[in-house]
Amino acid sequence: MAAANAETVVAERGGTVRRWPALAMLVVMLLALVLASLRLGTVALDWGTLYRGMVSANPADFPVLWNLRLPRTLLAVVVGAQFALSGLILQRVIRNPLADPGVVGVSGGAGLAVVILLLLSDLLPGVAAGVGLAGLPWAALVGGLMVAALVLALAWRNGLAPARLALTGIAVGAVLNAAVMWVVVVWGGSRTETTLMWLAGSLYGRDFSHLWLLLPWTLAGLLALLPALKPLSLLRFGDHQAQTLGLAVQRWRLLALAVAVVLAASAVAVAGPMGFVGLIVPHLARLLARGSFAAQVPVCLLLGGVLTLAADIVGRTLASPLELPAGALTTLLGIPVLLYLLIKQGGRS
Amino acid sequence: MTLSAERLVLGYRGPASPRTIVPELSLSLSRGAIHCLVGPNGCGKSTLLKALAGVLTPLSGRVCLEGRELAQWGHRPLARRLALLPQNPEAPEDITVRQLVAHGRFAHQGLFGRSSAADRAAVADALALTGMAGLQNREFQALSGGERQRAWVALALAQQADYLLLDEPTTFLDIGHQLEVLSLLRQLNRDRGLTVAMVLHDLNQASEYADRLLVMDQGRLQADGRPAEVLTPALLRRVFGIEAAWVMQQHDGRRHPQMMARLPAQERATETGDADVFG
Amino acid sequence: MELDNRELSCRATVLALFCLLLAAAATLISLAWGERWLAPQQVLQALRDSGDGVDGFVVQQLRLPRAVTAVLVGAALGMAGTLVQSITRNPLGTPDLMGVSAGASFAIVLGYLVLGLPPATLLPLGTAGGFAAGLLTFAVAWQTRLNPTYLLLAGMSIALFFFAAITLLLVTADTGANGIYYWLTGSLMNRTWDHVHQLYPLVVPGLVLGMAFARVLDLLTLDELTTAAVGLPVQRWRLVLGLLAVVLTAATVAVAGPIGFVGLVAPHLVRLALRRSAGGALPHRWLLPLSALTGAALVALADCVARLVGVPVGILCVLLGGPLLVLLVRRQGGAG
Repeated sequence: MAAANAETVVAERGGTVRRWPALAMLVVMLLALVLASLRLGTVALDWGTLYRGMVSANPADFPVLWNLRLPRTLLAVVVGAQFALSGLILQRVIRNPLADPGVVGVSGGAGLAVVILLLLSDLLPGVAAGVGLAGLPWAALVGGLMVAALVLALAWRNGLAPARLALTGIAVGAVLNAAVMWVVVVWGGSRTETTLMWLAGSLYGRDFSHLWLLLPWTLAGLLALLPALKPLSLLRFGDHQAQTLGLAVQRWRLLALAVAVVLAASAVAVAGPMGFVGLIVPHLARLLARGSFAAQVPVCLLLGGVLTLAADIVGRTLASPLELPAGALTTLLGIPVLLYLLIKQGGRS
Repeated sequence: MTLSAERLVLGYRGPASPRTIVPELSLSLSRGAIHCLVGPNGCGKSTLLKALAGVLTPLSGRVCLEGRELAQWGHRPLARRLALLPQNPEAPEDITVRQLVAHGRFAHQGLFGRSSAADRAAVADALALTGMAGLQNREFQALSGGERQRAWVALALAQQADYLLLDEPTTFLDIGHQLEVLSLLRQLNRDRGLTVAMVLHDLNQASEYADRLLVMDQGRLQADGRPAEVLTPALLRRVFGIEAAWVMQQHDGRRHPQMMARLPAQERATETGDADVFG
Repeated sequence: MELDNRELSCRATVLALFCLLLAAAATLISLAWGERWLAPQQVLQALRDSGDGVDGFVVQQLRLPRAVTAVLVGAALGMAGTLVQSITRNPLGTPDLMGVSAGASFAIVLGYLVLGLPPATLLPLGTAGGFAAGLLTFAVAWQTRLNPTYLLLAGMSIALFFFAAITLLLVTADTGANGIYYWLTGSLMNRTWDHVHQLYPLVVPGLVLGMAFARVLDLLTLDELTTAAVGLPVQRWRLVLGLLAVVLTAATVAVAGPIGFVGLVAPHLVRLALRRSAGGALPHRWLLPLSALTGAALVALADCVARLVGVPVGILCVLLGGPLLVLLVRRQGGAG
């Protein structure tokens, strides 16, 4: 008995120890990127200005830092973390490595809502004055949540079978994306680039109001996830096994999906559908640090933040003053890393 | 001229260095005999079986069937001579037993071939031998564990190979079905001259059914021969870490050796009573 | 398998006839409808005349190539979708997931928007780009012996990469983004015999080859060890059939833009339609040709409607196929 206990302890500690270097590395990377993000841009801030701005009692004296850089940096980190966590949950719950926030219809719903709002504000200038661009995040949030609910309702039949959910989600998502493309093609005209930019996912021109809009959802999602960590680890064993271990499978699956949807929809609302982060990061995290679901959550959160922030920095500095969409850049940055890790790991399997 | 392995090194290639499972092993199966491979978990039995079947490429050394290296046989000619039932085979959704078993005929039909009368006869034969004829139109996923295992055995039989390699063919089976499968294999061995090699866990069954017993530990062959000669208390202690002895039991008008086993003494210091068996 | 299930044969034949009829009707409407409305007899007349008359020109040079392209594209995608789903053993597999559509699209956007190449060179360029991306996918997954999960992951990654690159090109482009965006939605507008000539030398042999290997695909749905044990070299055939799907898809994307959704839906529609009568797994001998036919009917119909309402065919395929898929998945209900 004692021997067995010692073995378990060693195994558990071994698992944690292997995870710490990855976590530490990610934290360092994130801090470095945050500093870089605050400094770099069309107007570069030197270290002195940066320091004075951060400690200043009067933020209004440092508008670039407080109105542009800081909210944008924080948003990139939070949004990236949310997408990553949402993807991690979805891949676990749907048990398909191809799952991402697009699969539950969030991106499609948000995209369509935004495009329709833009269209309306073009057709009816009165509405534009009333709702304005400030209404975009709300429209995206409502659209994303509504379509996700629709997907879940369509796929529900005495429970949520993973395969049925995935197929339904992909079908609905594809229909919505097609509708978005249709609207853009028919009506886009000179505004195609603007719309594309939003659809590609971007943090251009975001400020603290976006962050305040996002944070309640972030907190709600994370809090709701805490009790679900253990059940989600069990879901990996398959429905029957999980059930005999005492898990109310359908209830936890629904809760987990709801969390994933909320995280993704609110992130889409402020940054556009950067859904690829949700697909790539969980895989990267798994390849970097193995372990239980709970162990992967922090890795995923940090990695999502790092990837998105890095993409945003590159996006606004590479072709400055032109803005490149961070959503596309996360993919361009993340995919080569993912492929490298895949090849490296592939040899081992 | 039989199935033989020469200086076989087996393992899985890693990114840096290969993970060796069988360091070096030579072996030649006896034509027309039933071979049982036994050994503790992780000793390399399944790996060896896969290499013998040609589905795992050796890191070095070679496996030959009738003097010709397996890789030179070509996939389908080899599959006509040699069938493998892996440990955890998976069937696609919706497939029926008959469809599954018919896949065993691939090696006889080729890429484009339709099934011939001979194919149909072989499938019917395999289904009848395994007692699956009555279930042939049932969906595989709806079968019980024992029925599934018998369906897989039927698939291997439908190949009509003269070498049959099976990785734990009795798992998931109740004792009745275990004996049925083993008796079936013995019957095929006696009637049709099939050479059988299988991984088994039950040492009593292995010694009952094997003509030749191969004991593996840590990737090496520890013993090879007739069960009664091989399974000595000393070997069982060394390989399995158990205190064991054979007692002769009278059953069904015959005397059968029956193994009694327990963990070494220090683990069971408080328990006594069966010392006379091991004494 | 060798027991030819009579009910299955009947229902499969009915389904095939239905698809053919649908495709034929859609084609006929496509030939008749347009600025110049022709009655059915006039269409037949126009098909037969030398092509000098206005009707003859309109039907033979404008409408017929578009209709033929639609049928070829649909059949190729239906076949490619089945191939990908079977070799990856994943019902969500589509030709898009081999990176082909993205690679072809990227090559074309790059050629058109950045390099300013003439349209004639874009077709082979797109096919080559798609093929290259497909090869890249297989190269990345090769070390895992083309393990299905790795293959899909690699393909999806490469697809995402190229689509992101396209987005960057579009966003940074000064002009022409709107036009190329239209192409990216998948369209059959203004397709000529040149496109057909580009398409059929790849698609027709591809369809024949795919059907010839029906038996191999049946086997590939078993697990890897069993497949190998019954005498099929698994990795080699995953590569061969995967590349076949890559060629079929690359050819269609170059001509019609990325409309890969057809490849996802067609095999599912066939499977779900024949689920009850198959009495077991639907053999690829039936699944492959029926998926090709369903794909052809779907694209022909979508293009017909696309011309009526002025929406790109790729979008219409999704708008038609998506709800259908949802409906069928729901009806299938009990399973899973």
